[in-house]
Amino acid sequence: MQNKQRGKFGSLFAVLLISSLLAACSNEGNAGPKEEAGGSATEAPTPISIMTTFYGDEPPGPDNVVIKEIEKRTNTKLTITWVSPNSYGEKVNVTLASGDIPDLTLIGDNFSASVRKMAEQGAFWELEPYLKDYANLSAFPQESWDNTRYQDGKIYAIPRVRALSTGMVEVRKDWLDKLGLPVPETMDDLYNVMRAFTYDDPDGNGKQDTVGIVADIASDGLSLGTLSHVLYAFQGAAEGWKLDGNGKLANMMVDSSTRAALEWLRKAYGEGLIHRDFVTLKNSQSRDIVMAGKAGIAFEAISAAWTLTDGIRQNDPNGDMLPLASLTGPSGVPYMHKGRGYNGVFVIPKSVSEEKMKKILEFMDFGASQEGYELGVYGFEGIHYTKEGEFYSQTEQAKKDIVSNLAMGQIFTRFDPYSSAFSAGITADYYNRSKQIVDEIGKISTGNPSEGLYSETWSKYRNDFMKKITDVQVKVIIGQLPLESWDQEVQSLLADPNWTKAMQELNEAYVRKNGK
Amino acid sequence: MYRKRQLGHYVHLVARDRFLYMLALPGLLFFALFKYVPMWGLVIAFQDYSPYLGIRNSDWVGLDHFIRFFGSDDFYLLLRNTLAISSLNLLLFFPAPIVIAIMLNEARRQLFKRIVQTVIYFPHFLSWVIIAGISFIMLGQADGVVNAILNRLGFESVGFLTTPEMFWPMLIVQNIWKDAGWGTVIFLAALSGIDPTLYEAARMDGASRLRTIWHITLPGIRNVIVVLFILKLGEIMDVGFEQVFLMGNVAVSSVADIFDTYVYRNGVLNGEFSYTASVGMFKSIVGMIMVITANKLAKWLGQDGLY
Repeated sequence: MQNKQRGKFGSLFAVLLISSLLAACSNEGNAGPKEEAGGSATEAPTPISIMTTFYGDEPPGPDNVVIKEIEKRTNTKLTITWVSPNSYGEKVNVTLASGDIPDLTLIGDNFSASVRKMAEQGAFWELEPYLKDYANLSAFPQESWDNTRYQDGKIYAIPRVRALSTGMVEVRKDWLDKLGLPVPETMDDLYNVMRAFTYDDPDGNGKQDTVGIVADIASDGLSLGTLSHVLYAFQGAAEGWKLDGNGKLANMMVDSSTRAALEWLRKAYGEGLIHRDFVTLKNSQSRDIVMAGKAGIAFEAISAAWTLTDGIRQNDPNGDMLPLASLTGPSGVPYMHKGRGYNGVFVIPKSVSEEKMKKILEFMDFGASQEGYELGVYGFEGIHYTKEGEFYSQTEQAKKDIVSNLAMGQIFTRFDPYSSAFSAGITADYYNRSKQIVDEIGKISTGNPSEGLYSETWSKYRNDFMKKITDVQVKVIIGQLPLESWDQEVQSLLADPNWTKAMQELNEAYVRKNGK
Repeated sequence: MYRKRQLGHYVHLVARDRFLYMLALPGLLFFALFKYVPMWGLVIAFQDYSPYLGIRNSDWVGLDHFIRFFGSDDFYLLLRNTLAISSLNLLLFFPAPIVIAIMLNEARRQLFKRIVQTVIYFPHFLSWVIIAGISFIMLGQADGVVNAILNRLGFESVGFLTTPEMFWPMLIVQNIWKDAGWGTVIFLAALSGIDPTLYEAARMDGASRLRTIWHITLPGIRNVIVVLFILKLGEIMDVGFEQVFLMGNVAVSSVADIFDTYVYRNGVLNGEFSYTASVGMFKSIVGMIMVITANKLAKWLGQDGLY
């Protein structure tokens, strides 16, 4: 009897302990943007709440000197929520779902199904009718604006404008020189370089501790991530989309060139030319491996080239990541990816009044002006930067005050065809060489013809398709599955009625967009 | 008449113990406010919910999301993975703290016991992010410690992190490493409640150590084991999002995709709130059924059960 009592007490204790643990786990912080009205000038400053991302160690605070100056010049009161890029997508979805959307919100994936639906339902301001009043915003390339159009042909967002020449791959030039190799032009060249980088001791330390490529898979598992560029180079198609001989839009995943690319990657992985852990690496980790001098080729945009080079130079002053202007696949035509002309968009929710929406456009127009952009991204002349011709040298104070394109540059954007070549702290030599490469890229790069096209079926099944495709591709590359598994995957895609329907719908949308 | 008297009786009881009821009030409010009120949000599982339109104006779609979910190939994959990981946990991870607790209980030197306890509690306080980081460093193929040792010994490198067959065992080993020690707390508390005279009597009768464990220790903590087992069964659909999410990658996704990662991918990343709400609801209902069934079963077997 007594024993039974004790047993009961023991179980009660257990339940109490567990429930208190559970309760402790379910506490969550909640911090949302709060608007504050302030100031009592002739016209009260317009309060604007903004949500955007930031790169670098920490975001600027509300008392940042440059932000204060921007507020003064635009007569606004800014409340900025800075969110780490690692979780930005999640944060946007949660914010949109809450319905409490900041006045100016950066959306990374503006064509995701949920954002499309919201635009369709009229959640955001349609901006096109107002744009003519804003000279600097209108000066963005038409391509950038057009690529933001939704299925109804309307513009609901301000593109975070970017150069169209984004680049895609960098190679260690100092290693090439050391091993007496020319700059690779074709995928075969690249393969030889990878082999030399792996087995010919390019860093000269006598140990075999380097590899050709380091890459990482997209964290959502829906594409090969940075390695996708190998597929695109083989396909000669930006983002895997191309117009075939009959002018029809085709997804190149089912093309034989994709198989050739997988064969190339599988062989390279088998011979140890690709970092063995690429499947589990995060993008920042694979960049670290390049900067530690352990890998010689990275599929990154040209904007990352200086960051990588700068990192390498911390240990090896001669380090130099050279962006390539193109790679030539088996088709013999040099391929280079052309960007969509923006990276993410800003939307203004309908909950904002028309008057205030115009103020916000005015604010963004200021950010796109020479004066506003310079102030936001480079700060005060003499304090944060010195200028020689077009080249800005940023000072230590700029780092201290977090004046950078990594912070305010995530709100203010201005079109500059060479913006992708510039990074904070870049040397003039390196910048000028990158500018030339950008010019070369501009001559040959091809864009993604499916950009902005809408198909209900594709929208719905895209993720399912891409997940299965990526799963098989990765397993084929690391040798878990034979190459024939990929052939089967292609067959099952072609036999899938949803795939066929999506391709048909996209083709119809393409015809509708481009007229015949 | 009888009813009225009974009601009056209750009022009287409540009035008499009013301070005790007031003590319970914050807890009741907590559950009402944070557990029951948000449950209304589940209605979006039956809607084509759009944040802009809100719950009131979104279209009703009935069971469409459930039909889509149960009809998809993903469903069987997710169910298989979730149940397989849970079952392995129940089979291998659940007994681990019991065994350790009994072993500690048998240890003679208090100092030894304390040191061991401290050491095995420690991993519990590491977050999964850190454990995943350690695992990557240990098991990576390029510079992983374990593979470096294998290479030294003349073996080929093993893709521990990218081989589907190794994924489930790795999760269980991580679980045991992290929480088997911490899990002993409850069992040790229960063990300390066993009457020491029982052991003395058994020893007088010449029972061996194993016999005392079998006939005194285990029956003494049986109730706690049953209660914890029932609670674990309720969590059969929850296999630890963080751990699986952090350790998973494309190469093992066929065995690493569970309900929680699916909800995260489609709901949080892809914004399909309604669809994933229906997936989450399915999960909860299964969990509830498991708890009720297990509780009934425990009572039927003559145990105390949970409630």
